[in-house]
Amino acid sequence: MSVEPEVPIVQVEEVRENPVLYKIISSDNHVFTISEHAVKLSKTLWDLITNLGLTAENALDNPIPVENVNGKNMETIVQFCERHKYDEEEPEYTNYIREFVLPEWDRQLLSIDNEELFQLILATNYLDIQKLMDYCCRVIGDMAKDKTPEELRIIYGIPTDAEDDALERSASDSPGPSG
Amino acid sequence: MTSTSSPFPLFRLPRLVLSEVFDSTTPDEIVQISLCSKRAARIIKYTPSKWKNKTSLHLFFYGDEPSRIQYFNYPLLFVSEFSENENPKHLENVKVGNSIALMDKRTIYCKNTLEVIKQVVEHSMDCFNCEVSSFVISRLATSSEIEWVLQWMSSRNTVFTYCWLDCNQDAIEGLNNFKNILFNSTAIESRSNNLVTSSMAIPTESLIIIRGSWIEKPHLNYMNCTMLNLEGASFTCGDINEILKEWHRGELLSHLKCGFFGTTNQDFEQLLEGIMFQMFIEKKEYKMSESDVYPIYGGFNIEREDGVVGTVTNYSDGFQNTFALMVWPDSTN
Repeated sequence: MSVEPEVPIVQVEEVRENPVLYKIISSDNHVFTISEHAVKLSKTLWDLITNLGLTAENALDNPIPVENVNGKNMETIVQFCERHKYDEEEPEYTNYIREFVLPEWDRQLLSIDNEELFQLILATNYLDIQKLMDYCCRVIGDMAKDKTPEELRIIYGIPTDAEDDALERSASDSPGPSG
Repeated sequence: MTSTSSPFPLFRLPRLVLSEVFDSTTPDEIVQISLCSKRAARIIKYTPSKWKNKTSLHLFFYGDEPSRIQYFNYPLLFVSEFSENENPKHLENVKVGNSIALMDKRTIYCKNTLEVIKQVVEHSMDCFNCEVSSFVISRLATSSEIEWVLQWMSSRNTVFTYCWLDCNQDAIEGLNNFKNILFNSTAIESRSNNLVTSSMAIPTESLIIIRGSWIEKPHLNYMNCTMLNLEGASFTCGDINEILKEWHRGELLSHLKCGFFGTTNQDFEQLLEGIMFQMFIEKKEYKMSESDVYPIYGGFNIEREDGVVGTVTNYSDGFQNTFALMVWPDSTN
């Protein structure tokens, strides 16, 4: 299916060496170009490209619609993938996770509003980009550092037992679909 | 960092993503999150993470400082007795299990410490889906505290890994009531100065007794371990001679691989009297494991009736007379 872009194509980064480019259309019809190396970081997109049989010749003529991800998140994702497309595989950090320091560039990229971060991590999960998932989780995990339960309730929006009980009561009092 | 304008809706994340977030936090942070509410504790209990099922939960039970529950090297929570000097304004209310207490960062202050420790331990076990595997019990813990810990251990249907029991005679009397507490791999260590025999009933692979001057030969009947370290014992060479003869007949320490016995003197003639042996002078090594290697600088090989060979060697230093009995083969073979 060919979708006409309603907004100008967003050139996130100059592609240096790789001539193969793909077009992605976000849920709000923003169009992004992404290089082959970068798009491979997303298992979902790369599987789609492979299954659709897109090649260097026909890739730009066949934009890939991604209905679950909006333009804002897609821009962040494309930036991230272009930035990390030539990264070597990182060692696994298991018990010593605090030894791993989030690179400053990525910390800046992920310095966004909590609601945006929530949407970004859902998009990352959908697109199956493990590295970005790790980085987002790290940012979310870091919020808990040295915090008390009271502070964590605010940071993570966790209701108290009393609030949970009240929510449960109001849910059970509210009329069902037929009422 | 992210803006704090709105909370990050952690529990709205899909389960698999939440699991990855937990993998990116530390165990102490996971416990702090679990203390936010009953629902938070329930979600943590049922969300998989790399931290779960690791049997690395340790309880440190002190008499004079806060008791501590720890996972790997991460102290999770401390429990301390609430004193009137504490300023409650700095403390926040926290509910652990059925107990409500006051908390400052990682320390819970309460009046009923034993009950709260129990709740904290069970809460931590729920968070990581594992049992407490090891215990360190200070000699400053009171008899009732120790009895409570052992009672609790006894009530768990599990095999523990390690227990360091550092306590006085009064405190460990009555341990015979807890013969069902089982250990599977390492040590129960007792640093009692006085004559106490009851702890010996606890079966263990490895037993280390520091300052064991109270140990007598009949106690060895309860110490059929693989690794036995009684460096502080006051056996005579005559005692060791009897021990070797009984071992030779297969009547004592039949599971022993490596044993150290503190003695009051170094009389080889008395030690080996009436025992067939072969002397050697070359250096050997005895491997309990890859990292646990004991050098042997000459000694006496004794062959048991079943063909098993044990080496008796002098392990004395400038402070303590000690003989070792090392039973072949070691872990090299």
